[in-house]
Amino acid sequence: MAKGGKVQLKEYIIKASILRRIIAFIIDMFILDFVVFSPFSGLVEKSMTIGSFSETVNSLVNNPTSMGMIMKLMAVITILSIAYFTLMQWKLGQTIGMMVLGIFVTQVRVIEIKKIEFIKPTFIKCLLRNLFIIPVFPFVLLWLMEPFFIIARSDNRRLLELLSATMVVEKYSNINID
Amino acid sequence: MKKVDGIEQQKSGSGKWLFALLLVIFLGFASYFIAGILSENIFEGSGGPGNVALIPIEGAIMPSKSGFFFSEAVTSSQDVIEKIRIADENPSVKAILFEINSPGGTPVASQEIAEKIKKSKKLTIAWIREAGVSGAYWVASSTDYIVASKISMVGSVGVIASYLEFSQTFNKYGVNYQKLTAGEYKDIGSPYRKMSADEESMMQEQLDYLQTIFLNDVVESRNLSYTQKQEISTGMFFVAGNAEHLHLVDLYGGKEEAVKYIEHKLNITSKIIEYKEKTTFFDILTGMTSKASYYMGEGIGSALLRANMANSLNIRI
Repeated sequence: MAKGGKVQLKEYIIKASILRRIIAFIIDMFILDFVVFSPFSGLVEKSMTIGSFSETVNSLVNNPTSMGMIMKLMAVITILSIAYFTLMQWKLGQTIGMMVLGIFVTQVRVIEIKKIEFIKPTFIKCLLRNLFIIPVFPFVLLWLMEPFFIIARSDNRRLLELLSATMVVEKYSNINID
Repeated sequence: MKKVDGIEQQKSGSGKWLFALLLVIFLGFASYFIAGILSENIFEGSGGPGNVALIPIEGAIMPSKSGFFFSEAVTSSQDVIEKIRIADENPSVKAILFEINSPGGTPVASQEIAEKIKKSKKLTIAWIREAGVSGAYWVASSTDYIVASKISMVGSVGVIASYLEFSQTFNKYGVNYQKLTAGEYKDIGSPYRKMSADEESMMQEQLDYLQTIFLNDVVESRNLSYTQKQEISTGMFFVAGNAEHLHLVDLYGGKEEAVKYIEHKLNITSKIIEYKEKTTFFDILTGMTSKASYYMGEGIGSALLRANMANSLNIRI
């Protein structure tokens, strides 16, 4: 080591690991289960027969009142869930799960990542990247497609992340000696 | 936002967590609030699983639920009709069981429910508990089958419009009643003067007419003989076990017997779903505050008197 060398702590941004993203998502789902899903669980039970798949489907198909209530519940839960992800990522760049795992959402300037910087994403970008939550066609197709994109791409970005020009990243620190 | 080495600095740790906490609390409140609103629009059980709809008829049968703050429990005929409609439209529901514990009510409200029951395509059973008399018996008689305890009160197929008349009390204190009406019989039934023989005869004619409709409907529904009709036309109530000869009840028993009958008749395993309205805290609060605010200014005593005066000609079955 050269005498008088300068030691510097540098922070870098890299793509977030898939494992961290999965755990962060699970944490967020737990929070949503408690805050958003639980208040409506009683209404769901009262509105439909919960049995085998065919029993459940039959009870909905044959009962317009049940079907109407379930549709309303789905719409409300979807809006509140999207609100959670969108507002958190827009204001803070992170959801609670992401805060725990130290990952965050950034806007990317180009699709091909050369250099990642943290730029807080706009509201529209946050909304767009979270549309996979909507439980109706064609958005439900994303539940199959998104994991495929994460695994197949080198930058582990989902389809909606490509469309919204966002990315989930994490920081890491490195000591540089000059 | 400040950039350090190309990295935008995010909000400080405590600020982030505070925002997150506030958002979660807001979403929680929004969820419970919306769930509360949505649950008010359905009768509990109206869309749920179950093949036997249990509809309670408790207290006086009235056209609507609005009433005085301290009033007894009432059943709104409109609510019952709506519940019957929902049960009729639900293909999962095979039978409707009416749990009746009522002293009767107003003629029209009772008839409305009776007519709706007759139009139902589902098997309808009346389960009478303490009392199913007068208008409540009209409702029960419209069902396909009546189950009651041997000591339930049934019958009272009659009409009542009795009231207190204060003319002599007023005379004693030098209070005169000044009649001012357009229409000779407009104040018939006023508690401030004695009813004339003429008026009494006319009132009686109206009550007899009401009773005729009530009685004929019960006789037809229960397929009663002339002798049975004569006996129940007195307006007397009967203890079910002591009036077996009148065929006012089909089976002695309670809920269990009623359910067993349904299962045997329809060859099903019953799963009961109770249709009842959820009275939310919001309902209680607004009902209490609106009535309490009004009457506080007037004085509850004077308000009671005014309510009684307005209902002096109160026809009940």
